[in-house]
Amino acid sequence: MLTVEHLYKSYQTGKTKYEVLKDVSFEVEEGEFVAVMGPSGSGKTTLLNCISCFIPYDKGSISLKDVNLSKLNEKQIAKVRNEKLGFVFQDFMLLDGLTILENVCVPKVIRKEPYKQMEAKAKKLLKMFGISEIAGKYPAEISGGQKQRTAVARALMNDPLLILADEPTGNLDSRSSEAVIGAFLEAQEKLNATTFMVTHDSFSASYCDRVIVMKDGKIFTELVRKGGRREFLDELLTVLRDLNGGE
Amino acid sequence: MMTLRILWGKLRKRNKADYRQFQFSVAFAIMLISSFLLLICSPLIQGAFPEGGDSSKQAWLIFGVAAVGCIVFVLYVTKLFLRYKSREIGIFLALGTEKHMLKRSLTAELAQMTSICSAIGIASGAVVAFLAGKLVEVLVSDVYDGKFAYTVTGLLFSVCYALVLFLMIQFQAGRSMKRTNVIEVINEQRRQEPMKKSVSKAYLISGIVLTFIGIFCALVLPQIIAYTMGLFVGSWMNAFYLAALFGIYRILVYAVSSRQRGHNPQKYYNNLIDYGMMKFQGVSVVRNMLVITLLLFGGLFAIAYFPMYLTSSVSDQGYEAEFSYRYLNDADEPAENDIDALANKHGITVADYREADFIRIFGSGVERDADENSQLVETYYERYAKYDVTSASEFRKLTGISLDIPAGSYYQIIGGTSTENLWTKYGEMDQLYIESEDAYLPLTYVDTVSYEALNISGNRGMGDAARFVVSDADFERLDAGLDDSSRETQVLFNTEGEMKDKIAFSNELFREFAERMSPSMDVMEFYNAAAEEREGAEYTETFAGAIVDPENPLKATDWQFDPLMTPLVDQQNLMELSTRLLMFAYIFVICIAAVGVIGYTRSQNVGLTNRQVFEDIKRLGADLNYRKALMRRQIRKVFVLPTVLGVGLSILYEMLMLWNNDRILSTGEIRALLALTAVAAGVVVYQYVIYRMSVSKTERLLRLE
Repeated sequence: MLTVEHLYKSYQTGKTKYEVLKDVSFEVEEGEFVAVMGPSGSGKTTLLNCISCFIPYDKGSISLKDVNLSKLNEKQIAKVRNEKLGFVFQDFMLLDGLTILENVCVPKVIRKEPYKQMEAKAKKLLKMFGISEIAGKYPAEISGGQKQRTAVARALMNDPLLILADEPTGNLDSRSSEAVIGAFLEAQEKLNATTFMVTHDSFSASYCDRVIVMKDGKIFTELVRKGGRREFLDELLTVLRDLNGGE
Repeated sequence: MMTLRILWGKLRKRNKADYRQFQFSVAFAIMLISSFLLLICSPLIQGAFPEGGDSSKQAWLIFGVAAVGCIVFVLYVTKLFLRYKSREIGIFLALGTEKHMLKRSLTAELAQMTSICSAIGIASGAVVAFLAGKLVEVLVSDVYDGKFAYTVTGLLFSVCYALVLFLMIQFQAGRSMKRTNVIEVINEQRRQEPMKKSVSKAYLISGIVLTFIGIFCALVLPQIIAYTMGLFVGSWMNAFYLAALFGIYRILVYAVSSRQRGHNPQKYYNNLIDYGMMKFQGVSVVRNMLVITLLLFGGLFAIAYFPMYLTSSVSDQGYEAEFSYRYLNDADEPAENDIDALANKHGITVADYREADFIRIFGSGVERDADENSQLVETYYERYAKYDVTSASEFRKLTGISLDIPAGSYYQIIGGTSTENLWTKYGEMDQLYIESEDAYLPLTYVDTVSYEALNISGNRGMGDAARFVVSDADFERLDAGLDDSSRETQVLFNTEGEMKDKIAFSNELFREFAERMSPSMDVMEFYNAAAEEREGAEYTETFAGAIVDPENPLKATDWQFDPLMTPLVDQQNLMELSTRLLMFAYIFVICIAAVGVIGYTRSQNVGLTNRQVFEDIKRLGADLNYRKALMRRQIRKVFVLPTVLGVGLSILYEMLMLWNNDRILSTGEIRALLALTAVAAGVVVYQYVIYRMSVSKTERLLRLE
């Protein structure tokens, strides 16, 4: 589904060049729920921004179902973002002036799709994530967890190939976080959605099928969940402790 | 060392555009007003507008409107600038900077900027005043020798105006620093002003209906009622303009906040993001749209004076003689040889001099007035007024027109543009008093005879100021036994020479004429000896004593024997036209400039407030074209509807007003309306240019290039 090969990305500040991603390669399979973890500055958000086509990269390639994203122009990138990718952001990024139902409709509104299918799909997604009762409310009137579940529903509106989530539980309490992760799992189970999530939260990451751990712009290790979630959480915590020098 | 002042300076460099906008607006406002002040205080205009005259009052009144307009405009720009600064101020506050230090920095910075802008504004205003002054000099050079010059008074007034703006800006800055909620200060720039509700189509329809009913009831209905029912509803009907204003507000609210799925849900969804973006800015957007609409209306209303004046002035032409005056024979007024001598003194010659005898005698008539119930009341009086009456042969001497008037009948002398109206009708006099016989002579009305140069009494030769021609035999009977205070001489003549010499001659003749009037001529324009008989001492007190300055014929005059001297009329008309046109042009420029600034700044606000939304939808897959189109639609809201409403309503209003005067649209009036439409088209082009500039600026703000 998603193939990242020998990805390099650097930032130039004056005469100094900072290498943020150094030869990063990995794959994400269809229906897989993958998390990327690592300390601050390890390059995980930069990696997500490169995959999202928000920023250009120096070398390497990113392919989404055999389409090389680096070869696309602005219009094609916009089309990919709209149709092939779904986004969930830490600060929700809902439009304050629209109701929850309308916010979920936005990806299809941008495509100017017929309203009947649009409404039906949005209602179905709201029902799936248990937020039908707030369909007519505005973002300012609902909780953080509800906002993020709205964002997940919106991300799924165009049946994307891949959902990209940037710290989706970063602004939430544990109960809301669990509900949001539940939404991703639900999407995976019912819609066979593929999710690529950047997170600091080991608890959220422990629900994933696989966790890519990054350090200094490189992949430090990859952990695949084989058993139960609790064991996977322990395994994750151990790796992260080792990553921080055993502290 | 890094001080707050240095930091402030760095921020200024970073936000150059915000500063430039503020500086330009303040300098522009001061330039407009100081140029106006320097011009109006110059000897050129002061000489043309004698102190206490109507023109002078009108000029200062218009200046008042312009000055207030500029203050509002600067206050608006200052508010916007302070909104830009609020985030920086809020962050400094949050980081523990003392408020008084920030306030000092802000007010010092504004003081410095305002002072520099004032200096630039006054200097550029002086240049504009000079150019405008030279233009007026050229326009009035045939009739007036005045020269443009700068005056200390003009400069002082300009400095005072700049000082007023300075204090108001300081006050606004001080008030903005009073807020204590830091988060509110930081978020001031993104402050949301949501509309309270979504409105239905009925709201729009009621808005349109209210607008038209308001204008109709305030402008047209009072005339219709007066003509059909003889009832005067009074000026309270002007309150209906408020209904029109409320109607316009409703139309604008609908345009901004209407978001019903209605019969076209697809359209609703296609515009969903537009609705969402507007939801939290609705109040301020509607407010801006309303202000733009009113300013456009005001600007076009002012500029409409140009075509209206040009078409109406046509009717002032066509006097059969350049000079026309009358005097009672008990006065020692200049005779023909005196006039000739005076003309020679000024290097001109008198041509076609003729004079004729009139008498002033009581006669009947109908008085019309509105009673306490605003009903039209007609009262017939046997002795309604003391009229001017001449004989057919005297009239022929004056005019060359032979009238066949049978004994016992009469003609009424009217002007070329006189028309019957609600208050005055032709031929209502049916008897004249014969003093020598102490009896009334019954008379029958034959017709009117038009001679503009004899139409010099008040009320355009109608009502109690009417002048009649009777048969020679009747005239002889009526004239018998009258003393000189009831006998009148009417003089008509032309002159040949240079216009400036004619004006000098007219000024001196006017002085002679006014100084040599008899006590019985010393009455106001609308004095009526018959009314004095009926009403007694109170009436005498009101109308006795003409207001006339022999030294200054252009000064506001209220005198029944005010002579017609067309060189002076032309001089006054030309000077008034030039200066009024200039003043109305100023109002127009101020209104249109304010419209431009408000539209331009509002567009940037759209960008600033929605920056995050544009970023969000970009991430959700909206391509550049989609985002550009979205941004343009948002900005168009501020431009399209207010322009359509402002321009459309001003043309409609002018049309109704012209129609309302005499219930027809003359060719001249249609031409005037077409000219106004052409100006309005220019305004539309101007709005389009500002729209394009706003779009390109907002594109840069949102990085949509």
